[in-house]
Amino acid sequence: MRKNLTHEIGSLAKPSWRTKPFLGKTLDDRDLCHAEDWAKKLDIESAELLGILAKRHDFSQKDKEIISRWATIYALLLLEKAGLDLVWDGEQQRVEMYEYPIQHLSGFVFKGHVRSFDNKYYRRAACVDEIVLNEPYHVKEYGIIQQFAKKRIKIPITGAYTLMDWSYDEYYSQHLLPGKSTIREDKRSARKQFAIDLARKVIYPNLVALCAQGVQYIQIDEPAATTKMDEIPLVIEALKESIGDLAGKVFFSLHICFSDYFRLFPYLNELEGFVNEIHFEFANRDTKELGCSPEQRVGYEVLREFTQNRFFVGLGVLDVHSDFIEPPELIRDRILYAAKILGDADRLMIAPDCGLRTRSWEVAFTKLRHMVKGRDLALG
Amino acid sequence: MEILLTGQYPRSEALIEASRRFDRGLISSAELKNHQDKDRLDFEELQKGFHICSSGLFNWADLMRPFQEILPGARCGPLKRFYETNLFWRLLELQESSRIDESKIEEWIKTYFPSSSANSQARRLYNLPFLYLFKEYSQGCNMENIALILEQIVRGLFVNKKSVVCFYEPAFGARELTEQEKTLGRLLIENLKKEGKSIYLWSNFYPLKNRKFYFSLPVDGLGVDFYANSVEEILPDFPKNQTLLAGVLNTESTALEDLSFLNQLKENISAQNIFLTPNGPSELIPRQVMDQKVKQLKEAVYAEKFNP
Repeated sequence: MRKNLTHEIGSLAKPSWRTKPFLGKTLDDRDLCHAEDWAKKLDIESAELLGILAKRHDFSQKDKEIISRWATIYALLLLEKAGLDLVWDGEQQRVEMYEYPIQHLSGFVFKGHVRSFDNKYYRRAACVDEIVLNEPYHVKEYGIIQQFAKKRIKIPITGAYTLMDWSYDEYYSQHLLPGKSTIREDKRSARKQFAIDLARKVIYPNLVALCAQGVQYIQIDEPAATTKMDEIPLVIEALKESIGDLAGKVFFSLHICFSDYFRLFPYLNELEGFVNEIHFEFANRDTKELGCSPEQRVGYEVLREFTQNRFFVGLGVLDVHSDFIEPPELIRDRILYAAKILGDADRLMIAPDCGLRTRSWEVAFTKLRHMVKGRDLALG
Repeated sequence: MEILLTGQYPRSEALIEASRRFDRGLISSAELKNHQDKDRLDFEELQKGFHICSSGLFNWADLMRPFQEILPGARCGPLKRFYETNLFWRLLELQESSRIDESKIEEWIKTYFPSSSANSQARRLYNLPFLYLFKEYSQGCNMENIALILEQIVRGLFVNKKSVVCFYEPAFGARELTEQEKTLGRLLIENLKKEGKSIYLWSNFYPLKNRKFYFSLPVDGLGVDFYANSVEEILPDFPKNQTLLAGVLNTESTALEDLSFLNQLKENISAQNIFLTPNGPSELIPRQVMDQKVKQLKEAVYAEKFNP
């Protein structure tokens, strides 16, 4: 099997011809051109899709299902044509990494939008009752993607700790009283129970269902992992509860981005035996200069922590918040520097920093192609 | 007891949608301002009867962003997580020599602390980041110069005779302050207090690590988050006759508060020295939920009924 696999991290932008029908909006010429242009670029026979899109409005439920499926096909082919070894569909079947899983659970009620940054908001829910998983929520999605993917599939799922931290808690902390002498312990205890219940009742059954479908690569996303410094042990515990006896049966990847990574060590080392790959974002913090010196590769310093464990290292080499197209040589140098620090190039897997949903398909595709070329330049 | 709605108030769903549309170029800045003004008017209505009212800061992206318009050469930088929340601010990139452009202060205040004919009898609350918060979310400028920047801004705000400046500062609980930081913080407050105006300090989310120092500061009100601090820890040492900004509106939960705690507060501190505030940034809660929390609190405080 080829070493140093290239993979994405999850999201790709949803094209407007995918989103507008679901929002009840009319498609315009630009939307149709996007679908046509990318059909040509990706060499897709998409007469069925283009025929439906030509209606421009009043799409039936069946139409929307077909459009959604085609978005998956396009995204898969985009990633495969870019040359990636492991693929997903850019999350075309999902709303968003938090809202999608919560929608499939009982015991949660959406309360409204709250700000993330700038004018970016997300719908946040409260846990108001006992958590019940209605049914595993990735199986159908995986089935659709499995029909069309030619390369190996890696599925991202949102982890228990992040689901807990991004939710309000009206259930586990319902007896919390301000000013009480045990207020801090009560809060901590409530959050722990909330996270562990999500791990056991929601994430683990989802993973079991995916394993039963034959999934070989699963990525657990925990962007909230370093939000609260004294809860990193809880992050680790929740991951262990989520994976449980599935450890070793599937290749598990853990993705954490835009975090204070040094805080995670040495706790992260406890996940050896549970998680195979740890993926971090690095390019966002790095210079754009070529070279393999520490001054040029400032974004990659935390790699030294990986000399104390044997994880595969998911190396973020593309900045996902910028349209800057990394030259293959820059990616090559980032990889070579990482290999030098680790002392073992075989441990590297190559990926963008995070999902590419904030970039156009043109930019995402070019970045990813360069990423694959950069890997080949560095490691052959 | 009074209610004081410190910090940025959450935006309505309509303003959120308008902000998104503005970012995409689908509406003009004038249309966006209309939505911001509507939110502000609704918020003023919610504060009817309060003795100190806030404009809600609906046109602030975060507590740092507006400063780039008044500090020549300042620009917005990368995102940084706001303490232990899922909210992100942008770092303000400054130069060591950064100073407020005095010629712009008046216009800046009108833009970012708009006055209102509603609640005209009330004093006006001006929320600002304190020294350590400003340093935490900026780059390129040392703390001494930041203190000078804050002094300039506050003196401009003090022109309004009814002003109350409320400095927001999680660092009083988040970490141990150094002796130099404490000296600079005290000096800043002492310099501003020479103007004879009201200054509050609002801290939250953490147990108060620097309690002795915090309680010794010559301000007119001190904030305590009672979802991170217990009554037994805090109130015995709380300065006599000092005003308490009691963080009792829980911005980490959408559940309506059990208000029986207010009885406990009144047992320890004279009611006239208590302001009830959010325990953290209200922006962490959706607007309609925060409105409900405030309305429940208002009913209880006015009726003096704290047993729901």
